[in-house]
Amino acid sequence: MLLQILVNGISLGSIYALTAIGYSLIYSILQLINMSNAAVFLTSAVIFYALYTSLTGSSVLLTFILTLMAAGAIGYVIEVIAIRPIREKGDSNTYALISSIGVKTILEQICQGTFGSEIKQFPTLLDGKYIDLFGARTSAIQIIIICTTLLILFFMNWFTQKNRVGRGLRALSQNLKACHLMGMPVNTLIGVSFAVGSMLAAVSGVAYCMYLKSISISVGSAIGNKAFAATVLGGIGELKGAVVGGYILAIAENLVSGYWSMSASNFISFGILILVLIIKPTGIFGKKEQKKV
Amino acid sequence: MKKLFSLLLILMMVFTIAGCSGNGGNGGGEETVETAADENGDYHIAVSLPFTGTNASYAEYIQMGLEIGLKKLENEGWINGDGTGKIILDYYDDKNDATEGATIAEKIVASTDPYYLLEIGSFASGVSYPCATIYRDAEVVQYALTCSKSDFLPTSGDWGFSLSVTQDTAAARVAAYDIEYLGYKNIALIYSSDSWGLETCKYYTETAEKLGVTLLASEKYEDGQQDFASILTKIKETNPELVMCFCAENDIVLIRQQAETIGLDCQWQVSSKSRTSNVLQNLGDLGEGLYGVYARTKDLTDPVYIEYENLYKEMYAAKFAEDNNTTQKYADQGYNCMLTVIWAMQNGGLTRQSFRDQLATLKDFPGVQGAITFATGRRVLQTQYLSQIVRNDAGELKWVNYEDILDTFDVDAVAGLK
Amino acid sequence: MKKYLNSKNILFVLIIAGMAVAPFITDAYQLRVLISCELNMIFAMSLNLLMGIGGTVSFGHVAFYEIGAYTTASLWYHFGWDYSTNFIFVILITGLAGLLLALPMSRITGRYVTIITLSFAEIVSLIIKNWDPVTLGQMGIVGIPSITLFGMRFKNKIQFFYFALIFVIVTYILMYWLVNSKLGRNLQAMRDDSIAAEAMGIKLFPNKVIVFTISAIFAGIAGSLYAHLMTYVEPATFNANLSFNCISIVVVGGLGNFTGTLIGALFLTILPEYLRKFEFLFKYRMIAYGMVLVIVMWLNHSIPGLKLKQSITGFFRKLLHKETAVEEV
Repeated sequence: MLLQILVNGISLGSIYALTAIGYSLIYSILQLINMSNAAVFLTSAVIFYALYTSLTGSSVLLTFILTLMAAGAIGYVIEVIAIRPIREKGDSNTYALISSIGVKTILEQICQGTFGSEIKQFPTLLDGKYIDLFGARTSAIQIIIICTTLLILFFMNWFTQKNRVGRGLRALSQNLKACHLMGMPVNTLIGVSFAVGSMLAAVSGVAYCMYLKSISISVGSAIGNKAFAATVLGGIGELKGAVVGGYILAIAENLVSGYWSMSASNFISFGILILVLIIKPTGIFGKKEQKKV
Repeated sequence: MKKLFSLLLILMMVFTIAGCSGNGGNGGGEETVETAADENGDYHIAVSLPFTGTNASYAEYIQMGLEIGLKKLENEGWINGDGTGKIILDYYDDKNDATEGATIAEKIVASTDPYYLLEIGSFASGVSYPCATIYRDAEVVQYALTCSKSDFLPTSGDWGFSLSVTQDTAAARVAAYDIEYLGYKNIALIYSSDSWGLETCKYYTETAEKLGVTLLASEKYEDGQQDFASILTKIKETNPELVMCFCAENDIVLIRQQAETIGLDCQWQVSSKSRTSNVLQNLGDLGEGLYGVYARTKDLTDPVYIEYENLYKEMYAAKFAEDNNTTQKYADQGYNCMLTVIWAMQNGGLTRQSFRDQLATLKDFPGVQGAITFATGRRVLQTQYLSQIVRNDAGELKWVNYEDILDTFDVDAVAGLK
Repeated sequence: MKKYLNSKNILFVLIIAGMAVAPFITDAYQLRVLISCELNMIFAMSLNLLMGIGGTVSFGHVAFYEIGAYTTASLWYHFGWDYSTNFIFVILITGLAGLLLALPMSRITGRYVTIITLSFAEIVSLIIKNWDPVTLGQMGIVGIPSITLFGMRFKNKIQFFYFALIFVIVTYILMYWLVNSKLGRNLQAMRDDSIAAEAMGIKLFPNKVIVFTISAIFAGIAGSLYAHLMTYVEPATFNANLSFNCISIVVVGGLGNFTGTLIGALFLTILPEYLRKFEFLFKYRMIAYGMVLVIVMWLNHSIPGLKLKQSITGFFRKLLHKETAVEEV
């Protein structure tokens, strides 16, 4: 039973981790909690479903690529329409936050209006294939999700360390003003960071629905807060922090609801968060911020 | 810029005033009326349901049922039979939110143009409760057709009605079927952590204990939960023969699919709330053998049902085909609701007071889900049958109601309801 | 006297005067919407103290609202006490909750405060959901009577309206006094530059504790009024949307601008009801609401923002032929 719970926890943790990186990326650059991320999670799953059932027929890969592109475009557009005008005025992040809440409401309502509130079957991969890991039944899709997450983590690591655009994003998170003065295309780069964040949300949204084998409009509601909590737990702005935070939260939740009760599991996950923040206010991997005078 | 912002301010004030002056007119609602009809002789009924949010599918089906009932009346020449006495339904969206619901309730009771004869809704008991006191004080009938909480009727004074069998009865019947008829002794329970789930769980457990069965596990989950893997793993450890789920139709699909992933192999049972065609359709092959509880006339050749099904096919052909050529349960309830409203109106219930008095006398009314009676305290009396998803000869999965069981098995006596 | 004669206060008096005559021209539904506005005003003003003056973005303000509602509801349910007694407990218990939330703030600053408030709200909501003997859990508390003061029961919503209006006025005056007191100046200094403030000898922690406590108390009062208005409380009502709605009101009204909060509350409470009138929006009402939020942020991040305030101040200046002090936000 313990092993089964761990397997479930790790596959859920992968979903949290992917979404958390999206939050972390944007937070590290703009100090903005991008509330629209959870809505993009839902929207891309809905787009995937719509494309799969209507246009692309049976090719999961093609649908997935199209969904990623759509999610990237949505992320970029969100930045241009809802965040940039506020950012350029040099206004406080709180205003951008409200704007992103507005975007979230709009996206969620559009999804609901077009998709309806009924649960629908979602295409999945290798349905009915299981592997027995020392008594823990692991479905093929769980293994695919875990592997995909690891691949994306390596890619993101390469992207932020070696790639020109990725290095630009890191520079932005260190000093936005200086980047601007250096003549970097700040606006485009921030747009790209939103696009990347949205694509990560899209990957996790589609993966989560494949894992559940079904999709309904309430699919993103619980993930948003959890992923955000995972980001903070691991340390904001740190790639590995978001990942470790995601796994810790998901495994703790599964353990508590497996051995105790599901209501207690939420209690524990937020309890851990508060405890960690009290002991180490910057999160597990967070670097101590220097107060500037 | 200055002008722009002054404009915004003025706009806002106009909002304030225009938004406030709604449909209502001033004060009003006090004058005594002969009938609730407007100057054209039409009657207005307000419908408050969650058209947005996670419960929107229920609201849409109820709306379909109401519209079918309305169509039937139109074919018969409206209330007076000569094309006069039209019924007009006004829909309000309460988002399944108590605050919104109460605001709408105030709007409905305060409105004089149109003047509403009664209100239909809300969907969840959590929304129906705060509204109940408003309707009670304003003396307007609140027809909360889906509200099954057992203390709703007392709260609403004399003005609340419901078409759902109260939970103390429904949950006890399910337990009696499971334990005494199907003979399961090792039962685990999953229920949603809302007032409906808690109450059903309580009565199910009580009846089970009366019948000498202690539940192996009872697990609750929070609203919006998608990942049930952990509680299913826990339940698997107890090796149940039957898992009883008191949950919404979306949740049973998730639970059943994840149980398959975990490898939890046993019988499944849902309550009447989730015995719907959506569940049948979305579970696919996994659904085979799933038990449910249902209320329907024994005879599908019943003229009431045939007329309904024909109208259903005519008005909502696409939906009908999508739902495996069956009518949906909540549409049935909406239709029943409309039929009883029409019956009460045609039998003299044309003011709020006389409508209530008339509706309360409903007895053995032929609805599409069997006869409906409002007993003392407006409690609904309705028979409920055990039902199951079975593969028919053509290889299609269908819900089948075991109606003959009741000839030999007195469920109410076993459940201790008599 | 001249000290108090600024555009904000004049606008406040106008709003209150407008609301005071409202019951004479509205029907029950409009009155209900206005009562919701009043509750949102008190709730949002308490958050504005925290956000606008204290500089803390709270995602979990609904926790205090919920505690307030449940305090009065549970006391009525278990002991049958009336509002005049419950009110004291509402203040005590929500104040205590605010104090509790403030404790971790000795170590945690800035961005992490937000997540602490969010977690706090989740935990409070879970406790209320599962503490069955006291809160009745998910079953909710049914049949809470209208407000009763010293044995005198409010018979209609108009009395309730004026009762809540008194609280709006009291809250506003208290907030105004607070902001212009030593505490308010300390807080603003801390918000703008905590290091400089500390260097000037302002102790951060005690000030934070006080502002959290006061803010929690007023949110709790709004919640307790809500319980008596709805006659029914259940945990599902107090979800994160209430917090976000409240933040929206504060930001639309302008951070630190309490008159703005009143206007923001009126605007954002009436808007969704107003949108009900358009039938083509039936299912898309909330999309329109979301768009308005984005556009308002876009135009000038708040309706009675700086520009408008200047124009109003200018207007009054012309009117009175006097110099009126222009306040900074």
